[in-house]
Amino acid sequence: MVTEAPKALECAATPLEIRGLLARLEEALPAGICDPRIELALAEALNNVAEHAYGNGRGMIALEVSSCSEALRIALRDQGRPMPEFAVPADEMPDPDALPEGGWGWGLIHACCDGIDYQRIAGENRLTLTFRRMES
Amino acid sequence: MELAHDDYPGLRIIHVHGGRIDSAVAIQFKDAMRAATAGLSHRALLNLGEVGFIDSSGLGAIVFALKQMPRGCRLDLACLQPEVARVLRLTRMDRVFVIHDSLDTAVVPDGH
Repeated sequence: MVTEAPKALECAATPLEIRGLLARLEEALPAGICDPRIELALAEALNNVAEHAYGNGRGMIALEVSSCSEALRIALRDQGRPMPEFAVPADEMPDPDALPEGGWGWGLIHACCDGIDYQRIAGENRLTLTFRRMES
Repeated sequence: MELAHDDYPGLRIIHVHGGRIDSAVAIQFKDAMRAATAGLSHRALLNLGEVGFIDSSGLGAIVFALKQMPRGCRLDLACLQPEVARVLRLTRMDRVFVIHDSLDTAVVPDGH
């Protein structure tokens, strides 16, 4: 199993900073990784931190990207409020016919990731998203 | 992100100029859609051909745009790139909109 050195990224928890971090993501990914699920899952996870953990207030989000030959792992850390019940929210989508204007975030994260781990440690949220490497 | 529009008989095509509809532009997009559809008395079509990425905030803004349409007026979508189509499919919101592959098929009066 080949393991590459982890790469660290960081941004403030604001929509524009999150957009900037997503634009820098590609250079932090190992060469040859082109999986559109990663940007979507990460965008949803980062938006959730800004909106819910920090309540649209000030805060930082740190990312660590690590990979081996089988999988890519992205660990997010923030110092905002914990997840409800200290657990990964359920894999649910709102009813389309109700014309929802949101509420898809965790459903999309579940749909895009092969693994989701959440821990609350020392006042920090630590969310780890795992993506199995797809054959290119 | 900016919007522009072209008018055809019974149809207004609203073009999104900008590659992303995400949480950074969701509010701007909603305001621009409200302005672009105000007073309309027929169908509108949102051309997403330039948009390579939407997140749930962007999708929410598109649903908002649908719900604020003048009574009786449809808002259709056209020219979805693969990642945009994926978000619509995963959320099952693709069943809420009439989705056109190209602008040509959409320009047919009251076309489906």
